[in-house]
Amino acid sequence: MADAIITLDHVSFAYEEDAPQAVRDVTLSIPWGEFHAILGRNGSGKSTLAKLINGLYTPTSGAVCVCGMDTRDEKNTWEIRRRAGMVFQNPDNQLVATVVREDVAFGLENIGVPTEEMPGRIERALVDVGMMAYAERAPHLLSGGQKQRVAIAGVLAMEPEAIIFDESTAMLDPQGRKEVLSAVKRLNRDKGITVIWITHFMEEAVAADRVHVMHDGQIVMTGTPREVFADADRLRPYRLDAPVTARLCQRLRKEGMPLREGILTAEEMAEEVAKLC
Amino acid sequence: MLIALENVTHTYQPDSPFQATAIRNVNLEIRPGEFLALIGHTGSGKSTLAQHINGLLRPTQGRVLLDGQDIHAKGFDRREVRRAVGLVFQYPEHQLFEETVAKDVAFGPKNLGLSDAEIKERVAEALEKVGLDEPGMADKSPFELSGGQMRRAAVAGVLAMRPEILVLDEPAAGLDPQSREDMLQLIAHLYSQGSTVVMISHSMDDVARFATRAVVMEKGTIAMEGAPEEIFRHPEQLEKMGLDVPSVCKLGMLLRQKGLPCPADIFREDQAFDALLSLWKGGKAHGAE
Repeated sequence: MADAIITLDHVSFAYEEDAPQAVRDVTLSIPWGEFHAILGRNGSGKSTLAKLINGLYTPTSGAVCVCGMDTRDEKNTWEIRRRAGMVFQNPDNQLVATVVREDVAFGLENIGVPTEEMPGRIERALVDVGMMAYAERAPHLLSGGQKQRVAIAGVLAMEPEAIIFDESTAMLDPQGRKEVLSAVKRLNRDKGITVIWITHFMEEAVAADRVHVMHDGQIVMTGTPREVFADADRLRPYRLDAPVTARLCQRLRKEGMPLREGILTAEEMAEEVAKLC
Repeated sequence: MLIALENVTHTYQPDSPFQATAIRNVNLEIRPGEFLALIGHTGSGKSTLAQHINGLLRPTQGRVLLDGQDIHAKGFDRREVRRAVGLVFQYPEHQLFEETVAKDVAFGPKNLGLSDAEIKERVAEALEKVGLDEPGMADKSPFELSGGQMRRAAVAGVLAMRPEILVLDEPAAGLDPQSREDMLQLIAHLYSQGSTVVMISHSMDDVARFATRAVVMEKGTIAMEGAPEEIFRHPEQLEKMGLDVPSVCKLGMLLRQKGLPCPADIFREDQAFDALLSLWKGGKAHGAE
């Protein structure tokens, strides 16, 4: 498909030959410039899926294509990782240098970007995540949210078309989570970078264009956030829960209160309740 | 047993260029049988405070008292504090190290010098409490467990010391929704069985659901203190400190802004459910008049 930046065609993956499949027959296509969230409990296969997209793993069967390149072809590996960058969970495991600016430079050196081109790229990347003021600081003295934004800048400097975030807010406090998510939303909106956002925080999936729910290695639900969260009962077997407002709306509807379907935020809910009372 | 922090100040690496005062003049009593939530922005001093409760950190100034006795006084047996106050660190599963779950849980009781029979009994009891008592579990390697199970195994290691006060530093952080709920239910159960609980949390929804008292830390001092319903009555103040309010609190605020008579003391989902239902029914009755 020409309009999709990432496609998975009947992809399965097992870590070892006889091991159970961590990802089972997943077919998925992600259009250029969209923000997709992948939700699932621990062990549902969502991180494995992320690593399949980025070429860290290659499928046992089926095919993954990123920007038209098949991940099974080893000569594509570096180009795929440059064009579909990845940000991981633990900020402390991703920072390598003693100064923020050098940390962002690390990936550029690896792919052989000419020295004179580097400062411009580094600065643009740091500006884009709101961390330019910290360019000369030591990464270990930053907050968790700031560290993750530096890690994102490191990926951005490679000028990727897509970024895969593998539970990149799981270890952050609420403030850090907000910082990182809003920086990522900006990159998606202003720069058209395709985002794959893997999380188990329901509230973070609310802003996505589409949500895919993974369970036991398979995609079991897919749709807009409104569609996926409309029915809290349907999520429960996957050991997930809808956001509090969605859950509350569903309970009230069961009592006969005619609240419309698809309410996700407190603002929307207050609006609807005010109409009815 | 009563633990009290009296004017406690803690400075890391004093007299060095890295000198940093994490908490300043903190006065706090841990009341027997309470569920105390410690909340605050990252870096506000919550973890430093928690590590004073079991004597792991020594105040730079001030005293920590156990039933009126200074635990850092000469001649005081601090092992008594370490046993009575169980501290569960952040991401405690990173500290699992033994070959089997049972051996890992036995580590603490072994250090107490208990008999083998007593150790065995305590391990079984602790594993049962955390719900890891199914056959074969005790002999598994802790590294074969799921993330949520590993976390519970680590908590079992602390429970095997039979502490009277449990101090937990973000016990649900990084867990998926179901494992989170399991962990919180476990803590609520221990509390209902008589344990005193001190829980550091970033989730205001959890604080609203479980705590009997909350302490808000800011820049190393106690900024607010009281029952959750008192604390959450000041959402603007919390937001100024970079903290959230429970999700249903926000909903209540928005409804009141729209002029609806939504009560101000709604913090939990069930309260919101009741309030919204009666708002709607009241509105309907009014409309029918």
